[in-house]
Amino acid sequence: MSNLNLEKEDLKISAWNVKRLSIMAIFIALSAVGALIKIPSPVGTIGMDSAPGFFCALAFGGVTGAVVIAFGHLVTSAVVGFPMTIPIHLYIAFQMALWALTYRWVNGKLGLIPAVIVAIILNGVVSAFAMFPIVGMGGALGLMPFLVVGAVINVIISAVAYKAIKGSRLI
Amino acid sequence: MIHRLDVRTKMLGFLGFIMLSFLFQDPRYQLLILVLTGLLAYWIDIPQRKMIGMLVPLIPIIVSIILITGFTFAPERFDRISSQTILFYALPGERLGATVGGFLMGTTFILRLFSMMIASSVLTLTTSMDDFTQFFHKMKVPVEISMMLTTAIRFIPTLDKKRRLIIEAQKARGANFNDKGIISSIRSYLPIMIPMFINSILIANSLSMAMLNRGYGLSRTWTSMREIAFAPRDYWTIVLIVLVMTLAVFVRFRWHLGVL
Amino acid sequence: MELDEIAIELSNVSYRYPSAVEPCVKNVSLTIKKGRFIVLMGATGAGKTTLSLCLNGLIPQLLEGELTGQISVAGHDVRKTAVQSLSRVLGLVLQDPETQIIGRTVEEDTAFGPRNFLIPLEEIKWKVNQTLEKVRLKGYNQRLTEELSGGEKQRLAIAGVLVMEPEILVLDEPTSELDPIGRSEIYETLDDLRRKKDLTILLVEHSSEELIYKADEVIVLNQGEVAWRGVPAELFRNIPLLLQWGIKPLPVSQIGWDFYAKGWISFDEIPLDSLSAEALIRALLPKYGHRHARGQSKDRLLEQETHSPEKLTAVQVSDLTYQYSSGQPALRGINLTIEAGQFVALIGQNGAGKTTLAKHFNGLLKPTSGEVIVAGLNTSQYDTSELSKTIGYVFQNPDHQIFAATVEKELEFGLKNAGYKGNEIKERVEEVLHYTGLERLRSVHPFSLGKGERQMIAVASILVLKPKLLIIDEPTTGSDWAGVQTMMALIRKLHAAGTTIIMISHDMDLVAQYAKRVIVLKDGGVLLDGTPQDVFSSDQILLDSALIPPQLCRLSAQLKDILANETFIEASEFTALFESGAKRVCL
Ligand SMILES: Nc1ncnc2c1ncn2[C@@H]1O[C@H](COP(=O)(O)OP(=O)(O)OP(=O)(O)O)[C@@H](O)[C@H]1O
Ligand SMILES: Nc1ncnc2c1ncn2[C@@H]1O[C@H](COP(=O)(O)OP(=O)(O)OP(=O)(O)O)[C@@H](O)[C@H]1O
Ligand SMILES: [Mg+2]
Ligand SMILES: [Mg+2]
Repeated sequence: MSNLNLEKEDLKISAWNVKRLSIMAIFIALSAVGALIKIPSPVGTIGMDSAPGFFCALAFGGVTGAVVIAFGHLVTSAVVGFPMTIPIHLYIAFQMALWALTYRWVNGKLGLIPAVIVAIILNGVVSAFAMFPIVGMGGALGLMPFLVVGAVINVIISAVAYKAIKGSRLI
Repeated sequence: MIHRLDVRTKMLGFLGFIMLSFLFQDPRYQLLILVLTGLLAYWIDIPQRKMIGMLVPLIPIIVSIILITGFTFAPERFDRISSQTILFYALPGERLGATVGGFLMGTTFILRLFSMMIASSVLTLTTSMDDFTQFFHKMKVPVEISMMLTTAIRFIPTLDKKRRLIIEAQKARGANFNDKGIISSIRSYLPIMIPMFINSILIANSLSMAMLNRGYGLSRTWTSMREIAFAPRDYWTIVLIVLVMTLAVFVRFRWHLGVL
Repeated sequence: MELDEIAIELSNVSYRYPSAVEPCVKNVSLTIKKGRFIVLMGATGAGKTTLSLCLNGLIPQLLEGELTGQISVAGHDVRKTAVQSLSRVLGLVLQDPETQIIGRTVEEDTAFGPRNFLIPLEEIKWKVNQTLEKVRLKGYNQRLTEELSGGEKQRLAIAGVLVMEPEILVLDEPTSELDPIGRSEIYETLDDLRRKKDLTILLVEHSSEELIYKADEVIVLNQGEVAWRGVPAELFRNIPLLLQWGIKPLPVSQIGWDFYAKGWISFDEIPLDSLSAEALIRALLPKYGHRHARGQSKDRLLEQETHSPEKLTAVQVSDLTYQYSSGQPALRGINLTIEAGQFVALIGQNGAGKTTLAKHFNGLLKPTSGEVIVAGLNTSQYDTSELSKTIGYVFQNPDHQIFAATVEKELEFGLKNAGYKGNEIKERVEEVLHYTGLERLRSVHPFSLGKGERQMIAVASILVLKPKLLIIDEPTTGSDWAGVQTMMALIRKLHAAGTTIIMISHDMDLVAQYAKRVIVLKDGGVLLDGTPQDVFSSDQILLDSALIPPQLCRLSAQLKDILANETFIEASEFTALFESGAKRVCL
C-alpha cells in the first residue's frame, strides 16, 4: 500500500497526459488516413490531411492541435515518401502548427467564423508566400490555388464537424 | 541486405542521399541519381504499383512546377551561358521569358522529387517500426513523442478500415460523392468526416484506458526489446557513403560540374 | 489475514459522469471474495461498464465526475493508488479488442505491459510465452495483430492484461461479436485460468446459457444499484425477475416455469439445461400429456408454407464468387434465390462470408464472377446510391453512419439523397419516428444516447426510404434482452408489412424463433439452406461450422421418439404438448 503510494509519487505520466497522448496519436493517424480521402475540386483532388489537426485545435486545445497538425503533416508526407524533401516538410509542419494555434486563439477571441477566415488566409495565402525562398515568386503563385482550395475545404470541414460534435458528450 | 543494416546507418545514407540530390542542378546528374536509386529499389523489389499510385496525384503539381520555373527563373540566375538563352516570351514586349535553364531546372525538380520518393520508400520498407523507435531513443527523442508516433502508425490501418466502413455505410443511404464544386463537395463529404472524427475520439478514449490498464506511464522509460548495434557491414557502408559524398562535393565545387 | 481473503470491497459507491445529471452508479456496496467467478449482469445502461471502470481507478483518475464512497481492491485504495500500479493487481479487459491491441505483432503487444514495469527482457519473453499458452495463442508470437480473427483478438486482449499477473480479472462483454464456438472458447479459457491459479474473475455479460454452471455467483445491476445477488441457478429459474431486469431467460427454463406455474413441479425442479428438461418432460408426459402436438405443429408448418402467395424473386444470385484484393476468395460459387416477402437468416462462423455476401445485395461489392440480380436490377450495372432506394442495409455498428446533430436530421439524410423535398421528407420522418418509438428523442444528439438507441436510429435512418428489401447485419449485438425484443418486434412488423428481410446474426435462438428460412455459410459457400427446423436438426454439420443449435432444438432432438422427429423452436410448442390443468391418461 505505502510503497504503491510512493509509486504514485514518482509516476511520470499522469492519466490525463496519457489521454492527451492517445488523442494526439489517433488524430495523427487520422491525418494520414484523411490524406487518402480525396475530395474533387476545380484544381484537382484535395486530401483531408489538415482537417483533423484543425479539428483538434478547436476540440482539445491549441497545443494538441498544433502537435497533431505538424506531426500529421510529417507522417502523411512520410507515407508518400517526402515528395518535397524532408527539410521543406519540416518547415511546412512548423507553419501548420502556428496556424492551428492561431485558429484556436481567434476562435476564443472573436468566434468561429473569423477563425475560419483567418485560418484560410494563413494556410492558403501566407503559406504560399512562405514558400517564396524555395520555389521563387512563380512557384508561390503557382502553389496558391492548391493551397487556398485545400485550406478552404479542410478548415471549413473541421469547423462544421466541431459544431456538430460539440453538442454530444464526446468533447 | 539493406534490411539487416543498422537503422542509424540507413538514416545516414538517407541524409547523404538528400544532400547529393541537392548538390546538383543539372538534370543529367539528377537522372543518374534517379537511375541509381531506381536500381536500389529494383534490387529490394518495392511494389511498383504503390510507386505509381504515389506519383499520379502529384502530376498537376509537377506540370505547374515545370512551367512556372521555366518562366520565372531570371536568366542572370544561371552561371552557364547556354542556360541563359531565352526560348520565347509568354507576353509581348519581351516579358516573362522562358529560359532553357528554367526548364532544365524544372526537370531537375521533378527528377529530384522522384528519386526522393523512391529513396524514402526504400527506407521505410526496409526498416521495422521497432528500429525507428530505437533510432528515436538513440537520438534522445522524448519517449512520449516516439510512443505517440509508433502508436499513430500502428493505428493507420485501423482507421483506414473505419474509413472504408463509413463510406460504405453512407453509400448504403444513397450518398454519392461525384459532384463538383467546392461547397457541394464539402457538403457531400461531411457525412464521412464527422463519423471519422467521432470514431477517432471513441478509439482514443478506449486506447488511453487500455494503455493505463497496462501500466503505461509508470516510468518514462521501458524495457527495449532489442539493443541495436553496429555490425562490420555497417562500418563498410558508412565508409562508402562518406566516400561518395566527398567525391560529389569535389565534383560540384572543384570542377563546377552539374550546375546550370 | 482477514483482508487478504477479500478481493474487491465497495462501500456505498456512487458515481456521476461530468456531463450527466444524475449518478449512473448509486451507492453500491459489494464484497467479493478471492478466487470467485462472478458474472455481472443487467440491462444496457445499468452501469456495468462504469462500475468496472471504478474498480481499476480509471474512475476517478482518468474520467472526472463525482465519485463518493470507498473502493478497495486487494487492499489498495483505488483513489490513492495510480491506475498504472493497480494494473498489476486488477486487470481490466474492455469491450472492443480492436482498440486495446497496441503492438504490431502478438508478441510485441503482449510484452507492452511488462515493458512498462521495466522487467528484464529475458523474463518478459518467458512471461509472454507462458501467457500466450494460457490463452491458447501458443506459437502466434510473430503474427501481425491486424490479421487475427475476432476470437483471437479477444484472447490477445486478455493476454495483454494477464501477462502482468493480476490477482483479479475484470472482463467487459468479451464475446459480444463472436460465433458460438468462439464464445465458448473464451469461457473455457477463463475456466482454465481460475483452475490454474486462484484468479478472481468478474465477467460482464448479456448472454447466459454457457455461464450458469461456470459462475459461482451472479450480481444484477439495475439502474446503477445492486438489484440481486446469488447463485445463477436461483436467478435463472425465476423468469419474472429476469424479465424485470432485462436479462435473457433460458428457453428450457421458460418451459419449466410454465409447469411450475401450473403447480406440476417445484421451483427447484425448473430445468436449466436440455438434459434435465428432457428428463422432466419424459416424467410429466404420461401424467399430463396429450398427442395433438403433431397435428398442431403441422398447421404451423402449413401456415408457413403459404406465407408468401405471389412468388416474386427479390434476390437472384448465380454462381457468385468474390475475391478481396488481398487474400483468397471470400465467396466461392454461391447460388441463391430469395422470394419477395421471405424472412431469411444468414448464419455462419466469423469470417464465413456473411457480410461479404450481403454487401453484394446492395452493390457495395461487385461480383468477381457470376451475377447478382436484386429487385430486377443487375447490381454490377447500378450504383449503390441507385440501389439504396429499394434496398436498405443496416450495418453492424451504428457509429459508422451517425453524423447529424439531432436524430431528426439523421433520418432526413437518406431522403435528401433520394431527392425528396420539404413536406414529403417531414411526413416520412414523422412516420418512422413514430414507428420506431423515437419520437421523444427527435431533437436529441444521437451520441448522448445509449448504444441500443443508436442502433434503433441506424435502422430508422434506413426505414425512411421504405426499402422493399431490408438487410440487417447483427442488429442485436451487445444490446440487452429488452432491446433485442423491441428490435425484433420492429423487424417482424416490417416483415408482416411485406418487406423482405435478410438478417445476419450469431444469436441462434433469435434465428430459430424469427426466421422462416436459414442459410448457413461456411468458407464462402452455402452449407445448409432450409427451414429453421431442418437446419437446426442437422447438428453435426452445424458443429463443423462452429455453430451450436439453439437449446430447444437440441431438446427436441433428444425427444425424437416423442416428437416423431419434429423440431420445435418455441417454448409454447413444448408446453402445447401438455394440456393445461386437469389430469388425463394418454394412450
Ligand atoms: N461518458 C459518459 N458521459 C455521460 N454519461 C455516460 C457516459 N458513459 C456512459 N454514460 C451513461 O451511464 C449509464 C451507464 O453506462 P454503462 O456503459 O456503464 O452501461 P452498461 O451497463 O455498460 O451498458 P451496456 O450493457 O450497453 O454496456 C448509461 O446511461 C450511459 O448513457
Ligand atoms: N476488406 C477486406 N479485405 C480483405 N479481406 C477481407 C475484407 N473483409 C473481409 N475479408 C475476409 O473475407 C472473409 C469473410 O469476411 P466477412 O466479414 O464476410 O465474414 P463474416 O461472416 O461477416 O464474419 P463476422 O461474423 O465476423 O462478421 C474473412 O476471411 C475476412 O478475413
Ligand atoms: Mg458496457
Ligand atoms: Mg460480418
